[in-house]
Amino acid sequence: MKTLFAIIQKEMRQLRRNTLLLVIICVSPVIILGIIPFSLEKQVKINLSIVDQDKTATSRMMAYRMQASPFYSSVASETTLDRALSRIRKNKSDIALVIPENFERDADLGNQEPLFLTIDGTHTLNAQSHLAFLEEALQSQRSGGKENGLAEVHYLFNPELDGRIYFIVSLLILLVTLIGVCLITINIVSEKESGMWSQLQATPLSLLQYLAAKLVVFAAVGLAEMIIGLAFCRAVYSFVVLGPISDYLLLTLIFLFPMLMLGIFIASITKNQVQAVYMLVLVLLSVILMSTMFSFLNAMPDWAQKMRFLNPLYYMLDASRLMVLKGFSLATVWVQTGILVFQGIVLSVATLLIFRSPSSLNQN
Amino acid sequence: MKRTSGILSVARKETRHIWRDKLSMLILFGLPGLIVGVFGFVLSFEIKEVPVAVLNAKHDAGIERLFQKIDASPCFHVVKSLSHSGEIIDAFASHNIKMVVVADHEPAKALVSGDLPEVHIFMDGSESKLAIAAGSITRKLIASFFREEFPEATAGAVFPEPTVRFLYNPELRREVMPIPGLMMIIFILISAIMLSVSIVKEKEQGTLKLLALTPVLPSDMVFGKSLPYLFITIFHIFSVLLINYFVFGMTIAGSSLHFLALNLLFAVNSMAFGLLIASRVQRQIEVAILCWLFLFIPNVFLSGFIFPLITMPDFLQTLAWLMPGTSFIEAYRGIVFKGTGWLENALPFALLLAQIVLVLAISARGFKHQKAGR
Repeated sequence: MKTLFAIIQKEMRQLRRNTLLLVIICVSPVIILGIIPFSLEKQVKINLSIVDQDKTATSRMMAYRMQASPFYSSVASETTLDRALSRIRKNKSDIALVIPENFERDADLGNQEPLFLTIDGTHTLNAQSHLAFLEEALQSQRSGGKENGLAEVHYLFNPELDGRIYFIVSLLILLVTLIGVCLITINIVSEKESGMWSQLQATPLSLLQYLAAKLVVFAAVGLAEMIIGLAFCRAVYSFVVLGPISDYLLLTLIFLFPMLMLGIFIASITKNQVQAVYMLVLVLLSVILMSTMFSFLNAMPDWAQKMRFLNPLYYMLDASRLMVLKGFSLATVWVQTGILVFQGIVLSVATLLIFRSPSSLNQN
Repeated sequence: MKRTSGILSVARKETRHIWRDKLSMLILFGLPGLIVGVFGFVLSFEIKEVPVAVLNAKHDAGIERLFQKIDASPCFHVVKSLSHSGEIIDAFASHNIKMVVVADHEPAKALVSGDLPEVHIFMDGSESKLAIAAGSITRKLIASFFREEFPEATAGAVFPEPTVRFLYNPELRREVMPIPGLMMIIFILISAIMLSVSIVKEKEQGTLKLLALTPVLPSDMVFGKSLPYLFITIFHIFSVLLINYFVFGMTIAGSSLHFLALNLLFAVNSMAFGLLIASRVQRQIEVAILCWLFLFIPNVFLSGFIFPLITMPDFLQTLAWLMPGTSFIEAYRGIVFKGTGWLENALPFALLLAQIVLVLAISARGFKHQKAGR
């Protein structure tokens, strides 16, 4: 126990004395969290071009209503469809709406010509959600504001449909993951490379104690990142954890166990820092891109969905969304937590086996 | 002549370093193709098979048919059937459920008495775009269901649906969206990291000081070190293009030469950013963290790859244009999807070029400072 404490103290001192690194890991999350979330669309904002071929009171009313609504950040009137399309081409608007001729006249006759919408399809989900929004607005305008009575949509957990909070959670977890894993991997590999590792092996310190100390120190760093991030987001974006906060911090710690073990695992199979940095790119990119951070689980192909059993980040995101965004407690997400612990144990065993194997001893 | 031979000998030394480290070499050469080939299929914000829970409180046969219709749609997949309304909130905790459809009436009887039945859709609003789009799709499904089942009762409540056309990506093909973004991630991370790590490694081990004793000028040394990595980058460009062509069947609407020029310019730009980082730090750990935090995260979030630029507030759009990734993605979309020419892409190209010049100038000062300081 005393040895463990001593080695933890050594790690803490080393971390504290590398001022540049300390500044980087304390300041950069704040810079990133201070800028990036503003780029996320808080509310639906559609840039619309209207081509009014009807030029009647009804069609003009329609355009005015859209200009007045907060959901359209700009509404431009164009004379021809071609000009509206060129606005889309220049990324000045994302939807063009054509109100056909005789729109008002035919409205009463029943054989009305439909409205014509052209949408920039480059961003699939954006195109779909903007289209859905516009269609609903048009529908309710034409039926005079009343719902058409067949189905009513209730939005739970996020009634204002704030698009930011979902990605703030991802961003926080991304920061904790990147900083924690990069630090622990390169820290261990640099000790291997500089020969410190061999010297430590000549002390009474056991391998288990050595790894446990690293785990404790960098889990503390990761937890500190999470606390800084949560506090910052709360102050700036009034972002709150709906579930119990102590549960969430505990979940962060549990998540850091397999994630940091993954870092130690990379350290165990690489010989120098260059290899470790490349390996980190490979592993972290795979873990991040497979984690549903930038995709929906059900939209991924089957093999990719199955790969999630290998991916601690997936379970962390899943559990975090339930706890932070929907207010469930740790007890509800026990499956995800259990899998995280299990992944951590498997990785620990694999790492210990590699470190103990004879080839690892004569590496240096 | 003497300078050229100096540059070449540094380049030769660097090539040997790369060649002798087999694990690194494997990752260096294989990674870009792997990332694009594998993750091109994975990244997708598509509404497909969204898990749904249903509640048919009165066990009505008509409602059962409605739920079958929802299940049959490619957008939804009914995974759970609830038994009473108290379970609605808890349903969201399992099976990744995003939506609960609740019907607590018998439409056939309700319609006889004259009022339209109401179906309640409870959406998980935390991912707002999914919620809006999926909510609207469900409403349309339900409306068309009632129109088919009870045509006489619902007549008159119907308006002609607008005609919709999607530009550039007419079938909303999902693989098209992530590829420029993945290429951007690869270049920005790998090109930047490999060059800066190779320089900072020498700093950390002290071999940079030994190199300073050789007749090779410091600027030639940096240039010589960059050369092998430039060739690796060119290899990356072609390997990614081959995968795009054979795996995803990519066709370039504009000129291919133009497209190659864009890729090369962007890769050199990333290498310049790598040099900038290398000129400022002393340890490889700082390189790794800085590259991930300040190249990866801002370029992923601000480049318009996942979150469209047009939806950002004005000051962030300006900031986003400072990111090299934004220029790359805009020009990529322009050349590959829209078929625009040199003139229309002048801005992204000029920005990339200006960044290279600026970043190289700053990093040159950084390298000089360190020489003087030590």
